[in-house]
Amino acid sequence: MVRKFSHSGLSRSRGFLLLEVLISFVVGMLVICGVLSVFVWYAKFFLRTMRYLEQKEQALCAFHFAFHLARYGKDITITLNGRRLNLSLRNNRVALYPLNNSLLFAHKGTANPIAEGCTDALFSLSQGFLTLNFSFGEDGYALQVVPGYFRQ
Amino acid sequence: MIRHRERDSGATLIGVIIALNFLAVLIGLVLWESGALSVLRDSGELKMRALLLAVNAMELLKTEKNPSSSLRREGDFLIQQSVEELGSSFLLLRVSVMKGDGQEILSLRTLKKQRVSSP
Repeated sequence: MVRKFSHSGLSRSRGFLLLEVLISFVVGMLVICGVLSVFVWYAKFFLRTMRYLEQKEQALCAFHFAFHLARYGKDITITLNGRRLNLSLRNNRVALYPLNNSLLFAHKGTANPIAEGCTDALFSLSQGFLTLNFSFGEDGYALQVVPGYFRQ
Repeated sequence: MIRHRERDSGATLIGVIIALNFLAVLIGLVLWESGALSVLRDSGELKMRALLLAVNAMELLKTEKNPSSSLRREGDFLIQQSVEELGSSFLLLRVSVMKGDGQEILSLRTLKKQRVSSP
């Protein structure tokens, strides 16, 4: 009885066959790779979405800023083939133009970015409306403003 | 001897199933979260487009001499503008942007001074 029992114990703890080890290794690697690829995909998707939402926020900031400039500014002129908006704000001459993926606000000899990621900006004046076209990557947005509305 | 053998017996089927279930729950959470992010992204884009349309419509409405209520379609959006008299000297202008199915996305309101026509 004792001999029988110890024989059975030996056969149970004899280890895995090479084939079993290989199969379990492959299956384990497949599971680990699958799970990791899902997590990596999710991390990339998360970063892409955050960048996208940040871009929208920058676009809204740019429109808000330009809208109020147009509202309260006067003597609006557009130069550089529609890519530079010049206007007077109180007694200062200011300008808005895109450069190196930024929308810049020039005032008293300095230019500061008001929106990052702005790839292009086009301004046009027609029928009493100032049209602002801002491009952020592949997305383009247009806004119409009545310049100097509050002074009318 | 028996206890020693039980410890060395390796992972049981139930253990493997529990581990796989745990992984499946984690992956399910990740996919659910990515779905929520997609909704957030689409909603951001929709609201931004709707806001710009609403501002453009409001600017047009404010410059009209005799603004009137109307409903029109612009792309995938419906734009409803309404004009109400507020007392004798003000007009309440309202612009609502809706999805194609009529569900409101946002609305803008402003007051405009009524122009009194000269006799």
